[in-house]
Amino acid sequence: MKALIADDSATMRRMVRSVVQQLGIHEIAEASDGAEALCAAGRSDYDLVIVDREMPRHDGVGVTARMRAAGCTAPIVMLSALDDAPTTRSAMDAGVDTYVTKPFSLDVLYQRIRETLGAHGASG
Amino acid sequence: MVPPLGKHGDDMQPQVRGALIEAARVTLRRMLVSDLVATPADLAAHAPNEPHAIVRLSGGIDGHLTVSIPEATGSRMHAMLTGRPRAAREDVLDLIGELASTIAGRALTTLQVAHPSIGTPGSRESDVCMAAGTEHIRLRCHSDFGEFRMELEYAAPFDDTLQIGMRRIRARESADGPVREVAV
Repeated sequence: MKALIADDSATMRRMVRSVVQQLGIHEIAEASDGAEALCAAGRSDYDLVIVDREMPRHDGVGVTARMRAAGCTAPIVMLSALDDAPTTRSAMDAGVDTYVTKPFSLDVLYQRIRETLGAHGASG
Repeated sequence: MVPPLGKHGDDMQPQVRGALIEAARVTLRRMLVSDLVATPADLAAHAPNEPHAIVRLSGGIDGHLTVSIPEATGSRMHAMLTGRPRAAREDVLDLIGELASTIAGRALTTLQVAHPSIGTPGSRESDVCMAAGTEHIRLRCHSDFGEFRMELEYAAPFDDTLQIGMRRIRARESADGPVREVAV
């Protein structure tokens, strides 16, 4: 399985990577902004995408919408510091499967990704 | 005791301060498994050359949050999050930016403002789109990793949306008890 992690924070990418690896996914690509994420998505297919909402050069909602429009069917997990109803709705409308609000513990993130993969008939 | 909401920014400061402290407390607890005690302090936003991050926030309140963490403290936090014993200054800056945006987002969510938005963090005022603020909340924060400081500078327009959010917070406080401004 292959995963794409898109987050402008290197610290967050390291944290998320450790969780994804715990799920048994070791082929992991990283992107540090929305444009890099779209480039990565255009070059390869992924079985799991984890995308930060607040990123420069296309936010996570825009990235998700473009990936879905391009035919991406992988489960997409969005990380965001905002948790209001319109923000989460716009993410889900764009094609996000799971919305995880920061701050979160790594245990919570692990569980949410695992559930998301399970719902898609995939397991780490 | 939550003071009554008036028609000026000053009257909202207790709620905004409470939301900011709560956001910092929850962020440190969940991400770093650390307690936090925050006390008002008359400090500059950051000491000279101290690693810091500035995040623009908008939606009901417009302003920016500065989080400033001494390098040694930030390095210990970074080690906790990533398992890496050594952190370069760039790593510490990245960590502080993430903490600042998480705290800002959580505070906006708690205040239930309309159209909340946070920018990407920067470390210079020229890096972020700065909003002129008229109110200042300066806090000295004590964590298990060491001390750090936060400053929120904001302008709070008196609008119906924010009033509704404040009323909801007060209603929740009535049910659950007041927001603690000093959390242990």
